Amino acid sequence: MIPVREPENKRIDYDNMVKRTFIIAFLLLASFRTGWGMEKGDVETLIQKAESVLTEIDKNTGMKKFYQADSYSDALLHIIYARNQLEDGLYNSAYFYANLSIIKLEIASVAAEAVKYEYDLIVKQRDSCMNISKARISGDVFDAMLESGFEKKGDVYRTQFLDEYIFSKKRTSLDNFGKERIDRIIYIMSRFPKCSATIVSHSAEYDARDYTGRKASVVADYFTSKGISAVRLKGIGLGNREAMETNLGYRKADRIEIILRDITP
Amino acid sequence: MKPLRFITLIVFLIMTLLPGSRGGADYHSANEVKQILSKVQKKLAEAKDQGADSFAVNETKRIQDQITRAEILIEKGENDMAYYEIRIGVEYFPLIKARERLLKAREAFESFDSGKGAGK
Repeated sequence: MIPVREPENKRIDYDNMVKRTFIIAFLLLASFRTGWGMEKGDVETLIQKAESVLTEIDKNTGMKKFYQADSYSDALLHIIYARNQLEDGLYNSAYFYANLSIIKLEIASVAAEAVKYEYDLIVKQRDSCMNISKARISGDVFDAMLESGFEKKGDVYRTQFLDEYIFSKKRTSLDNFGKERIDRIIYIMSRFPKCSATIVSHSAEYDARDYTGRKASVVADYFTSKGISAVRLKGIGLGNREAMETNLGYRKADRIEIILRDITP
Repeated sequence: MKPLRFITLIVFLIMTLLPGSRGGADYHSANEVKQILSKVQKKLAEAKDQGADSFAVNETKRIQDQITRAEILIEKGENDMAYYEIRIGVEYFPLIKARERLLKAREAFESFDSGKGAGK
């Protein structure tokens, strides 16, 4: 049997096909890689930029204390992520994290500047209040106000006591410690005849039976029993409408707030 | 295996396995990115209504730029990159808040200095 030969023009030229395939594959890859995605150098530059900003912040020791830990540490973490992604060849992801770190550092810087202004303002307000208070109030009255925890807010002085520290267990009368506290306030009021007091009573729970009103009356009665005219007193039971500012945020608590007005000699 | 098929397989593997290669599927769908995009646009409009245009001009412009870039990338079908760009845009919102806080703090400080807030 005579073997059938393929015609010359139909025979596959594998060498040529391999070359063509390589060229096409190269062009395809090149087009994909250049048309999309980040270049390693660009990402490296971004990461270096973030690192240099971080170094600047670290060097500026005067401002460093005003930086909030969250944004700063986020930025630090993002730089580490970006570096890791870059090492793994994930340039897009590295680009993303490098950008995030730069923005976070910018947030940290702006927030730190704001905190510094707020801090400076508080220092000025404190100094100013101390000066004003010292000018108006002197000696033992000033000490009594400090011991009672009064703070100047606007034109009034406010302080507050938790019920458990000043009332008896049933909240129907003041205990010895509470009387001592109120006595200091009575002393202050006796030194300033124009001064009036508002006793605001608060509760942690919904006050359906005027519990806070009764608490305010107990305190007001103690004031009057010590010779303070009822005209100068005002008692309010607010229920649980107002929360108290604490170091851990706002919370509702059983307490008595005392507001003094017209502290003028 | 014929050489042609072998080479095609190799090329395909290179394209899919090479880091950063577009041959791999996107992690984020176009719909997902578009949803984020519309949320960011809405949030930006709200921020502008609240005056961000006046105290955070650069930040609003940057967010707008990121939105535009993400839109272009979605049209090109580059969803992951579009996702990254829009997520970068989202990060500018806390910066707007920080700028607002700084503005208020500076105003309060300066008004106190000028005597308006003294004693308060």
